[in-house]
Amino acid sequence: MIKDLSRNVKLGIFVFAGTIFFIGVLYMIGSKRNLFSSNILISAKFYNADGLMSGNSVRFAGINIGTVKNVEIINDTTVLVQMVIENKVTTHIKKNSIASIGTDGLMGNKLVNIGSVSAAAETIEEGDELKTFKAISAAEMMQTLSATNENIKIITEDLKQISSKLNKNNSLWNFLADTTLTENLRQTIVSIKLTGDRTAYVAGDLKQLMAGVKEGKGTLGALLMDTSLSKNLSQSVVNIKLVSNDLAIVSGDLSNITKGIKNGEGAVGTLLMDTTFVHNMNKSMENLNTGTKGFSENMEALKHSIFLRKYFKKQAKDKK
Amino acid sequence: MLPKVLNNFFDEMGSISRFGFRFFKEGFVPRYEFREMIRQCYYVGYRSLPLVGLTAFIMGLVITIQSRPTLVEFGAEDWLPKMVSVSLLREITPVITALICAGKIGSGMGAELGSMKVTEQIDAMEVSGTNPFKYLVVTRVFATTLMIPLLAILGDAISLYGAYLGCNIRGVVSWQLYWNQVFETITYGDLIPSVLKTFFFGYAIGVIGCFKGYYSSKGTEGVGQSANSAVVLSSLLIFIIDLLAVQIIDILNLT
Amino acid sequence: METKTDISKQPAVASTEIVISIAGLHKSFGSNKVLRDFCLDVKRGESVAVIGKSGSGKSVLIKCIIGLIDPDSGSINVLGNEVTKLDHIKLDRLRVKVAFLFQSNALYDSMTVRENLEFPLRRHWVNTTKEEVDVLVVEALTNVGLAHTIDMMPSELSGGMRKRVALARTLIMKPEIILYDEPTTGLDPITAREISNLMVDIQKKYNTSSIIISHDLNCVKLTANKIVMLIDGKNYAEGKYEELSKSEDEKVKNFYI
Repeated sequence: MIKDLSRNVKLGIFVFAGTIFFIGVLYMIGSKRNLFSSNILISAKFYNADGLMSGNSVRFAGINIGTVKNVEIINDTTVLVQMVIENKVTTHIKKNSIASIGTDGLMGNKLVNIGSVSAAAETIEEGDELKTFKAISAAEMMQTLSATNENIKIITEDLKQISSKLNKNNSLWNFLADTTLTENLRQTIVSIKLTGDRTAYVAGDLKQLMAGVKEGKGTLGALLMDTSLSKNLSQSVVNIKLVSNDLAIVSGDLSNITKGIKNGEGAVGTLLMDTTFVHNMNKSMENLNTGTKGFSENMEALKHSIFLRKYFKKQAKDKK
Repeated sequence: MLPKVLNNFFDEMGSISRFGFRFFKEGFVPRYEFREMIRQCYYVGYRSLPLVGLTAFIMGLVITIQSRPTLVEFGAEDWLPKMVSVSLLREITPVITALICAGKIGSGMGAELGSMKVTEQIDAMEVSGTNPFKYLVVTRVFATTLMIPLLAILGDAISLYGAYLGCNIRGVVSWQLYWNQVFETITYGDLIPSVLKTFFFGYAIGVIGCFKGYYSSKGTEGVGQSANSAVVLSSLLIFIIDLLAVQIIDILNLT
Repeated sequence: METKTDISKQPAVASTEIVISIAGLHKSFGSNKVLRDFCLDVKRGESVAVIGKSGSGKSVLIKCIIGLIDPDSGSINVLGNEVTKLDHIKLDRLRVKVAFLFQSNALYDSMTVRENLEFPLRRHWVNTTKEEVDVLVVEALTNVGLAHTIDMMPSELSGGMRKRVALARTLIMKPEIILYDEPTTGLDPITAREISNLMVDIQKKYNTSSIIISHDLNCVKLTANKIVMLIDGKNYAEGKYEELSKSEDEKVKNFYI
């Protein structure tokens, strides 16, 4: 009987251990998905869910604070994403926080990022709906970039024409007399400034992307598979290069013009009177500088990135 | 009508199905053989744990080491715990556990019941006021059906520990980070179906082992044969059940 | 009625009460007709030996009597119960009174001698306390002279000892009828004689009726007071040992070589 009892005890321990472990695993999985902690439910409406699924994590300040509970199409332009957020972090999340769909690393799971905004607001509550922000994807970035290139091309074309007109003495007078033209010039310069800003922004993005690509070696394989993307990329890089070359020429021309204007006192009396114009002119020069600087940085980054190395090497060869 | 091979095959299949149904028919009406059942649970469960544990541990370790080079190639070394834990939990540990048990328990039952049959112990039980099917078969099938899942769960734990060690042979993954990553990755959809199918594995091992023993042909040769064919058939059946399970899980979208 | 003899080793005399009555028994396995219209009556206290060639259906006969094998047709009446028509509860009740000694002893390998002997007691819903069970086990083992083996495993025993333990197990329920399936097969002549003597002792002590399946004539001579020859599935010849030994029939004579 004693033998029997100890055998029963052993069996009991065995069964107990198995059951406890099973329950333990169930609990661990559940707690990772916030099934047992106290939660609140919030939502956000997106234009594009971007492959987000229920069970994906929700991050605030880079920390997992909850999971996506449900993704549901409301109408043809809106997707409702419901999220379960841990109760204890709700004191840090404001009502005006912005939700965006992102990726864990370059190839990881989709997730919802909640970003805080500096403006003051109340803390979030059950059932609140967050504003959303569409995060830029690599493909969209490329699109913006090529559009920007187009713009720059057009503008430089205009500038070229203008400066060639300026170079011709007789037309200078016409030009100076023509107030609409000055207005145009001013607008053009404003445009250049805008473009410069945008280019800098895009170049920054591109640099970040490149850095990401360089770091995530593993994802490179997958990215390289996408030949159309890299082709696009090199195309746009070529464009950027051409444009920045043009820009350099144009800015050279422009400085010549201003010099001319400064020297030719009588001729540009009106022009000198307009201090704002000179100021604008200076500023746009500056912007152009930063713009081109951005481009060259950009180029540098591209040169170092692995999949464009080949292209640059080839270019160097061709120069020889 | 049918060729002999086919006829034998279907005959066997029919007999096994009948035997399996008889378990349900007789298993849930009194009298219940609790003492014997507990004894069998002890043998099937507790006594198999060292073997299952060792195999699960080695599998966890080996699968991890083997998976590393591929992941390194993709630069996704960090994914090692995630990938290994899912494949261990979903497939490798349950099946390895079941196969080991088919080898140990299935053959044991085939041989034990076979020799009992040959030496008329089964008849003697019937004469002694005992339903041998209940006393021998029902208890054993119950034991395997309940104990194999438990063994598989403990095997899961041990194999995950093996995988932890495997992750730390070349790389460094802290204890806490490892388990965090594991539990981050696995879902109920990974765990529940994999545990559910082990019940069927256990049932198959019990039924086949007992069937082969219970209808063992006379003589010592018959005993060896029934032990052998019990192992072969139950191992095969485990894979068939596994195949069915994966289809059903897929259809029900439990992944 | 047989004449009483004072030879101590002769079986006790049977009464007129019939305990087993078999009529028109048929059993076939596939195309092999093992039993064809077999008839036999056994009286209380009588020991009937059934002899026949191997495969002649002797074992099938007694397995039919205890309900392990269902006959194709015919009636088997044991202690007033029609065996073929009993449900398993009544059959179990009948089996308390009818014991069976298996050819291969059928001792449970996984149990000790004590547990082996306790098994039928516990399983037959007999209301006995633990102390009573212990007493019965010791008594049964003492009857066969093996009280010292009580905590051994069957695998530790010799062939003769196992047979005795098996006999003790059949006795533990104090049966009215004992069916012996080749009790001396596989034993050396001396042990076989010991077992035969033991069977006679038991028969006298408890006044049991018995059917003895055997082809060992020495055993049969010692233990049986009636011999039945099972040839071609029938009760071919019946009588006392000496009567049959004088028979002129070829088939009967074959056994006495």
